[in-house]
This record gives sequence, structure tokens and C-alpha cells, in this order.
Amino acid sequence: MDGGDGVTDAPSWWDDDDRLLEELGHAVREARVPESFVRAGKAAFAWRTVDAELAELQLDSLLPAREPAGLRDEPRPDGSGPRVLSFAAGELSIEAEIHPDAVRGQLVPAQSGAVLVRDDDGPVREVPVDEVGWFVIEPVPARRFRLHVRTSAGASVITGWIDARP
Amino acid sequence: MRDDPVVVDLVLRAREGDAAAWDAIVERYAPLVWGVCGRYRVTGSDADDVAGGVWLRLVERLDTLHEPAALPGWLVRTTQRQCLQLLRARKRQVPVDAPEPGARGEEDGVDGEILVAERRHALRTAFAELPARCRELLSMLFAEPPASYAEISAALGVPVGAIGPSRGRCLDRLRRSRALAALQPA
Repeated sequence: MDGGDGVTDAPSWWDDDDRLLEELGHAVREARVPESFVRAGKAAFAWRTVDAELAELQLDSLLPAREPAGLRDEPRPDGSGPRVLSFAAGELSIEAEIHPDAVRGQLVPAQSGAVLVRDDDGPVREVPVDEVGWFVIEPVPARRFRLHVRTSAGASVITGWIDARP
Repeated sequence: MRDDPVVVDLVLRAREGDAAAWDAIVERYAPLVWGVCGRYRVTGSDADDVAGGVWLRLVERLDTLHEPAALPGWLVRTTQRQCLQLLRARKRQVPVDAPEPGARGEEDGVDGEILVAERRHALRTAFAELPARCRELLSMLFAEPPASYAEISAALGVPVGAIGPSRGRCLDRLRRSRALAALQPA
């Protein structure tokens, strides 16, 4: 029962019944990882072949207006509200508000999809976009980031860099 | 077994866009990533976030991973880094027994993680191939807390005196399985 067939330097987990049973228990229990943990991993593959079109910055409430304020449709923020950014690629716009606790954004026209947050090191995390185009990134990324948006209809665009704490 | 041909094949197929191969990679290595998170006391939705970041990075790295066989090591190191980043961002204490990437002996730590992960993967494979009676018996024995011989006797309908010998026979079958025999030192 101790595998006494000439194996002298075998690891004890192998030779000893109690140790083998214990190690087997660890192995079986360890594989019981939460389903959400595995699901997130599988979902990542959806980003595999996504080539993204660049969404140009249209508005950053922190920057001075690039044209006389009177010519602009958007009301100028008075500095008390959240910073507002807007990006556009073709027909798709990405609006993002930087709040202290989170980045809250919306796709226009409203549609569902997913947003991938990327920083200089690469992809960081994915958040869902609901049917009315809303998404929330919480907390606000500490480092500069860009948003890679994939819509359910198959469009894929990526914003320029956003520094939430300039 | 860093040159595991199954892993190399899965990586090559995932590179070609095979989603089933990717799923198999995630299923096989989720316990490894989960185990590293656990050693940094990163659990629950934090662990989901760390793993999400690790897998997203791997999706991008698939084409440039020079050696598909080096995948487990890459996963361990990337998970360690992501855990540390999360803990530091939260200003939480890094557990004293958690390995510090970049510290001396890092490679020992990584190799150790991989060795244990591969052994446990082989154990699970071998266990899944055992006859149902053996799986039931061993499951009750390695449960936490383990079932008593009286409970096992009642549940499986075997005399108490037969449990010890059955346990030994089932463990011997486990050792003789193809998956585990590959791990046995020559």
C-alpha cells in the first residue's frame, strides 16, 4: 500500500495514504471556484479580435472652449458639476462624467454593450453597458485611462486618453 | 509539467480564435489564479476583478506569448502583481506570508505555485476517472469534517470493516491512473 516498488525518493504525498487523501481533498476543493470567477475569464475572449475605431474628443468641460461660447450648443459648466467629456466616432457618441466616486457614462444613441477600461499597462477591467446605454466605472481609475466600447450591434470604438485627476 | 502538450495545443487553438479552447484554458487555470488570490487574502468580488484583469491581459498576450508552455508562470506572476496593486490601492496590508514579486526567490515561489497546481490538476483528472464507488467513498473521507466510518457504512451500505481496505484499494487505483503516474518520480 506504500507503493514499495523501489521508489525511495517519492514525495510523501504520494506514498502515504493519509497524505494522498489530504492532498486529493485540497485538489478537489480548490477546483470549486465561484462561477462568477470563471465566467469573467471566459467573457474576456470577446475582446480578442476587436479592432477599434478612434473616438475623437468633442468636449472636455475642463478645457477652455475651442470656439466662442456663443456658438456652442452645450451649456458651459459653471465649475460646480462633474467634469464632462464627450467623444464621437461616426454616429456613436460616448459621454462620460467624472464624479468623485465613479465615472458615469452613456452611449448615444442608447444601446447596450460593454466597456473595457484600459491604462498604460493594458486592459484593466470590463463593465457592462445597459439597454439605455448607461455604464458605471467605480471607483474612478487612479491612472490615466481610455475607454474601449463594444456595442451589441458590433461597433467598436476607443476613446483618447482620459486623466481623471489632471 | 510546463511542456504539457495539452496546454500548448489549447493556446495555439485559442490564438486561431477557438472560443472552446479559451474556455478550457480558463477552466483549467481558474483554480491556479484563485489560489494565488487566496494567498493575498483577495476574495469575493475583489478576486473576480483581479481575475478579470488577468484574463483580459492574457487575451491580448496570446499572440506574443513566446512559449505557450510558459502560460502557468505568466498567470501566477500577473495575478500576484494585480493582487498587490489592488491591496496597495486600497491601502490594505499585504499579508506577511504572501509572496512579493520581484523579491529574491520569486522564481521559487512561482515554480512552487505551478508545481502544486499541476499536481492538483492531475489529482482531479485521476479522481474523475475512478469508479463511482471509489469517488463516493473518498469524497466522504476527505470532506471537512470527514465522515465517520459509521456514517460511511450507512450511506454506502458497506460493513465498517470493509471501509479501510476499500480506501487503500481506491487510493492505489488513483496512483496507477495515467494522469498521476506521469507525476511519479522515476
